[in-house]
Amino acid sequence: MSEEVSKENLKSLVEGKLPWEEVKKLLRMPHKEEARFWKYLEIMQEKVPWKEKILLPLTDHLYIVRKEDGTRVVKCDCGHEFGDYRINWKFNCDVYVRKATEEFKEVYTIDPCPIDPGLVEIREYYCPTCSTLLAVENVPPGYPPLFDMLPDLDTFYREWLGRPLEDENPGWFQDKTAELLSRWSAEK
Amino acid sequence: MGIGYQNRSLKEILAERDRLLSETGYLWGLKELALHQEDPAKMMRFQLRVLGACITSRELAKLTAASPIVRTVGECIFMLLVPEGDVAAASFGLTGHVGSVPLQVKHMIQLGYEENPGIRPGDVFSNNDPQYGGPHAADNYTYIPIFYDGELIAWACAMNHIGDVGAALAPGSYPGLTPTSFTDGFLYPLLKTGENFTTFKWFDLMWERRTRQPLFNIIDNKMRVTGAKLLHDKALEIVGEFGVDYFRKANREILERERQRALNFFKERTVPGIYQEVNLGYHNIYQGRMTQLFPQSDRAWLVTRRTDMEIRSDGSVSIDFEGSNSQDSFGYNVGAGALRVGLSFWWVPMVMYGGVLNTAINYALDVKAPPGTIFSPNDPYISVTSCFHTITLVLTNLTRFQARAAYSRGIIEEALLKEQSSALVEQEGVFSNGVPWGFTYFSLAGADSTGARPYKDGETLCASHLNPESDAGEDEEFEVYMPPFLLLGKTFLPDSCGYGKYRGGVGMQVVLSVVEPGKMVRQSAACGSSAYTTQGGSGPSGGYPGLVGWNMAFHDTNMRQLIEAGEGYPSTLAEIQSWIREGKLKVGEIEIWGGDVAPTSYKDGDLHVFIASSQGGWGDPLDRDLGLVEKDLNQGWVSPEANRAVYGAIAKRVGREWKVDCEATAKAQQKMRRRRKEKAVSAKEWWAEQRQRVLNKDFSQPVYNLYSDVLKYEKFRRQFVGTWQLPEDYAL
Repeated sequence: MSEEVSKENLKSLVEGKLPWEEVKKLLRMPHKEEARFWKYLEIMQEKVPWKEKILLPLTDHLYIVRKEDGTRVVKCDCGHEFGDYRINWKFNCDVYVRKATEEFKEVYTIDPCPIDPGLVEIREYYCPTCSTLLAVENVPPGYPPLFDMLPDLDTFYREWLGRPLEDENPGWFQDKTAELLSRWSAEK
Repeated sequence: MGIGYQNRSLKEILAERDRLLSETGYLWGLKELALHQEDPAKMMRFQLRVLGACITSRELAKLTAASPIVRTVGECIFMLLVPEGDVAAASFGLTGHVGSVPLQVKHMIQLGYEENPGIRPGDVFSNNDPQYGGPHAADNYTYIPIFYDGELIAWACAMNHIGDVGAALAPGSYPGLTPTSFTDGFLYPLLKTGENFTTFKWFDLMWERRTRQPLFNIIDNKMRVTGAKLLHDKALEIVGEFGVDYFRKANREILERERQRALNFFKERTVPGIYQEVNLGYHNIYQGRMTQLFPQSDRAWLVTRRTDMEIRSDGSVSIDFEGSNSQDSFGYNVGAGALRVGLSFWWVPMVMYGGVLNTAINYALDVKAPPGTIFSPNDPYISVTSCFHTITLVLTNLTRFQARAAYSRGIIEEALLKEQSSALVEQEGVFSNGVPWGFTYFSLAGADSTGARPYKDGETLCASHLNPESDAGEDEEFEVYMPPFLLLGKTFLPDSCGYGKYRGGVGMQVVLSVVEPGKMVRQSAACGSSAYTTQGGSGPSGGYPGLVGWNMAFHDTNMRQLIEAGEGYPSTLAEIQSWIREGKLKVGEIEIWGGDVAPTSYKDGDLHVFIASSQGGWGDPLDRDLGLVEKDLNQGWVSPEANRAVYGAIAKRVGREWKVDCEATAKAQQKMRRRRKEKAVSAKEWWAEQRQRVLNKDFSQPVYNLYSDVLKYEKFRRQFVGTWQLPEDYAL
């Protein structure tokens, strides 16, 4: 059994094309090779039409990238930028909220649809440029949008990957969402 | 003089373990794993011998059980413990239960059991009390101390899930209505229940008098004692082979090695940082049923199981449940033992797979929950009977964290969503001859569907996350023990998944009919889930969370006449609906429960549909490969109508096969994307509108009640007030 996944197989896995028997070989690996992440970044970088360096893939379509001006932002593969990765990117999406049973039924097609509109709403977060659906949240009305993941990138690169980022700063691992919302509030 | 190593007391040994861990950062100060380094092959042989002892004990003991919950579904586990309580090795089976065992032994030690009642060779101790580390009345633990030359060198522990706990207000193993611990059924705290490896007679009488299903429960107890005795003997054989000194040291080394392996697991396969999730439930079966006797319980609750995870630089993990509901007068509270079991249900198959099963989790995972909340109740008389409803649904959150982290790290093959759906139906009745009976129908608990992965659809009815050696249950056998219920059909339920680029596994459906119920039969469910709310939380990459499960009852039917007329019977929900539309099946009242089922009486000819394990998707549905759409159509997993509605996929039959019209589909999908643009607003606009709603306190009553409760907790309050930029004194 190979102890290292080839770039070709990893790319196939990313694309959902790797045969299940090959996937099982990866699942059975007792350890995941250190070089995997760098191969993964190469694959993702080759997939996107823009040049900013990907620091971390977040979802099928979103990446944290470092821009030439030194900022680290969330970027869609279509090129849309969602701003500083320390701010929950959902606040820079387009949002559609399903609130009624008829709207629920369009995406939960089972009959009868048991979801109670008095308890939850279904929030759909779209990329403002390409309209890709980036996240779905089923939460009670008024629930704060979930910040799915705030990575500690500096620790990740320095301590886990052994390749520190050149712009390390303790300030990179902070949730700054409230700052954006505070500005929005002040504008009112 | 103590019973431990070098005549030390167990209290002294426990204190020394904690001191060394605190001072050195290593379990027992084991910075070096000397036995591993000196002779790794011998160490591996030892480990396989203790593992084999646990597995052999389980397999043999199962043969002595009567309950199909043990024999068929395999809801039992056998564990070898070090003297202070950590599990060094365990069998297959109900693996998460390793989690609570160290707590129970710690209670015995701290309560001074070494002096009173004494711990001697051949003694048998038993526990199912949440106050002493047990999860709930259904989970019964048996301990036999293992002595060698007068020294306690280990414990053999057996555990299984029983079918009826003798609760006052509802039957089965998860009684549906339990406002306090006094209605949780037969709870017994850390009793010495036997000597000379033999159960005292009075313990059999307790089962006889206190539960609806005494025969199974008495034999289950014998099964546990038998298996623990087997494990006891096997452990002494291993001591004979390896020497007692090696036995002592090797078990400790296994635990420290596994602790380090856990830390390395996260460093190798995840990304450090902070992750947020929430899981939802709506519990409404108490409302209207408790008015006079338990007025504090006469309400419904919208429950949030908020979970924040931090993966730290050293690979350790912190899980914080703040923002979840307060403890309340219902059965959904989670004691300390259940909390550890629930977390182990995630840890064992998702983190520690491939290694020896143990409790190293307790040293790599910090858990926080404010006292007085559902995850940390501080009322000793609070009900916890449906604890696993609350804690196993947290698996949904934990697997989402892990899947997100694995995806970001490039370990894509390990990104697997698993939305938990414990699915049991609890039953009781009185036959026409006056004999009472009770049972838990486990058919859908033994095999779940799985959620989507970022490269693959979820599977249907393939594995149980809670019991890795389980199966779907043999319904023919279950039918024997629930005589008034006849199984009409058991199959997957089309269209019941959470959709996405990759969809979750579709749910399962079971159709039961009631035949000659005798004097009385009723059924409830309190370990299901809440399709009223879906699983809730954030579906990864645009996938929709799964619905999980729900129940329906069709009362006052003409089933008996249909069968007598040779018309056959419906075997799926769709057939029932179709027969009703055609007028063939006459039905009086139809009840739908999106969550748990209140104790409900049935008459001859009534039908019950039990649905479980609809799982969530991954990714934007419009990214779905049309080949997968065709596959779903041809397999019958997803209907043409649903494929059109969710994916924009236009398909038609060509011969016997469904084919997608790619051109028409592309047009439909373009239209759907345009529609997204039209109907959505900017987040800023949405935020302003939502903020006003929050300021106006414009919530339904259940949502209002929820926020009234969870805003008491500072961390969640800060997030809520900060998100909506509310005045500091905002209150509901």
